[in-house]
Amino acid sequence: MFDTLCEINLSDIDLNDERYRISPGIVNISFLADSIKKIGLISPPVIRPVDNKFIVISGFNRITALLHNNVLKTPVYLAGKETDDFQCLLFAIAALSFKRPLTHVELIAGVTRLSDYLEREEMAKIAPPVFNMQLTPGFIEDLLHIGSLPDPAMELIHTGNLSLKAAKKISFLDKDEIPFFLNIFSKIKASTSIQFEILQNILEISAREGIHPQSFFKEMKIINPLDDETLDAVLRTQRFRTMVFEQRYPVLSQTRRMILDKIAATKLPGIIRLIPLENFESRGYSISFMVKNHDEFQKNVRQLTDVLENKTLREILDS
Amino acid sequence: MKIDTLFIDHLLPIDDETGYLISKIKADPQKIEDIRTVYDFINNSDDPISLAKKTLYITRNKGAVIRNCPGTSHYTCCDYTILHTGTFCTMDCSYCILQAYFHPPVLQYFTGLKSLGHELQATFCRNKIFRIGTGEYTDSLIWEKQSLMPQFLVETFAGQDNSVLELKTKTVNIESLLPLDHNGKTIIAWSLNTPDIIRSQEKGTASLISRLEAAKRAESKGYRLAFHFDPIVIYPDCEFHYRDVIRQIFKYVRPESIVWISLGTFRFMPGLKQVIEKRFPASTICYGEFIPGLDNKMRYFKPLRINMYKEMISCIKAFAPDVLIYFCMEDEEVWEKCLGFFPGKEGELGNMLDQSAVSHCNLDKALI
Repeated sequence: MFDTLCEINLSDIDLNDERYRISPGIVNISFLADSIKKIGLISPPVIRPVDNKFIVISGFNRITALLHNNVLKTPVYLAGKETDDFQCLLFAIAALSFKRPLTHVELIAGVTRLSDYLEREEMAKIAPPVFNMQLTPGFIEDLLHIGSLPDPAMELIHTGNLSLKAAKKISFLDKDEIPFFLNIFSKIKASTSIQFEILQNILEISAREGIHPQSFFKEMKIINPLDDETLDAVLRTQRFRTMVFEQRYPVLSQTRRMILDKIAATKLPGIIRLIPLENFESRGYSISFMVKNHDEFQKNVRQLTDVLENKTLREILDS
Repeated sequence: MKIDTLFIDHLLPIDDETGYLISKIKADPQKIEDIRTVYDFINNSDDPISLAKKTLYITRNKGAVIRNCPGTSHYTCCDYTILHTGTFCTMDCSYCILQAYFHPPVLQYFTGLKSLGHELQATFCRNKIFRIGTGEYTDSLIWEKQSLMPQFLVETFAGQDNSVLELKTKTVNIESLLPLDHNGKTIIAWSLNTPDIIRSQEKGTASLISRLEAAKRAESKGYRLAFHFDPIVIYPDCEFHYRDVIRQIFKYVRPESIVWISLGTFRFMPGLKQVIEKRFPASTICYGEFIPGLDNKMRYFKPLRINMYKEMISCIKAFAPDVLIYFCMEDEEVWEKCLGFFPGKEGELGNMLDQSAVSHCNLDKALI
């Protein structure tokens, strides 16, 4: 089906027809171009004749690299005339997925293209030999939803700024809310769980306050730390996350701050730490210190005994 | 809510009790051999919970009919006894834990008044006070118009003096109970909430005023009453609204008729949140300041709970200084800060409630 090896002119290939392109492509082609120059073309691209041209099924980067090297002709595998669109698409996905694990964006692209031909259940059945992994109909459905997001979302998924979990949640939002969140995730760098926490908290605040997420900053009368370009991405994310959390849990945040201020005011000796339980649901505080030997232990116990007279400490523990 | 599909356990005899129920339900009964038929029917729906509310399965209770309330760890439980007469509910409260508690939820009605009577008689013979309720896994009075059970229970409890029956409801289905000789052994209890919460979160339930009017009618027939503020939902100006509900209670009924009032702020298993978001997209009930409690249920941040309870307790005390107020599943700090004491010893809260039951419902004092 794809096993006729022949040589064609590169000028006869229409690189603009990307119907089988699954991978977003590499930005810097020079490494691949150099490799082809020095080592040669390890695996010929696979192409298909359409009208008077050829279109690429697999090997977009290789052809771009060959053009970069000003090469005029290249060996290719030619798809047989009987090969249809669906078979070419399956080949394009499998060629990539059995070379290396597909990235999320490639997986989304593959599933989205295949959805023109197959239902979710059918796609799930053929997933292992095509995608080199199991896919459930539910996950396919999720990927299709994510695939319906605008292009900047794919870029954010590709760079790791947006996890599939967060992208899925965004894909179910109203169309006019989506750019607001994509803009946020383009400016922060966070783990999957923190991304989801931020997203969820903004949505919940908006629902609770009856405001549109787009007017979140304006309605909540807060300065968006994401606009502060003097901060690096990690610090910006930290501040933004804290700010959103404080809006989502105002009383909890205020109480936590107040208790931590009071603990600081106790001026406990540096090595003694007083730690409240995270959400104050339990009354228990833990007091800890580290010791290396008995002398240190004795010293810390004495310091702890001195602390018994500390009024602020009493206030904290008896409140 | 109308029952669209009626399944019946094929082993169930169509006796007076079942025949009466079927005739009132007005749906063609389908005899089935295996409950999995019901599970499959419900699970195949896009919205199993909504379908389950319109699908009734009449069967026998194959487990324990009388059981202890499971309570929850780390929080003080009231040592309640559950009379297991059915599961799930036809009303559709957004916050209802039963949506996430049963997998899948099945609206079951357990027949067998005779065996129920035997089980109860065994309990009545014990030298202990029992507070027994049918409202743990279902609403106690959803079937009052179609079933002989509520009347049976009221009359059965009337003839003994160690147990009190609590029928907890959000309906006003008390008509068949009014003429009965209950002998003071039945407490009709209403779950109450603010009109805002009833309107937005308690679909298919009676309005606040209807519930209070029903309470007044029950009181006029000598029934003892109880009220449960559970779940208390915290939202802007809620203190004012809950105080208003409390004021309304005492416009309709006398404090002396009230055996107890319980308070419990909204808490939920984490899994319920997704159910609420899916089934009630307009509901913001889960978006308060919830933190994971010691029992892994989500609870309002404790200072918010304490503040709310204090407001409500002071209002209740102003109208009814002697009425017994208790918390459903709260800890020592909440008890102490809000009520000034903590029934910390094992069974202490249960004992307090028993005493109130004894004095209001003429139970045997010697059993305390």
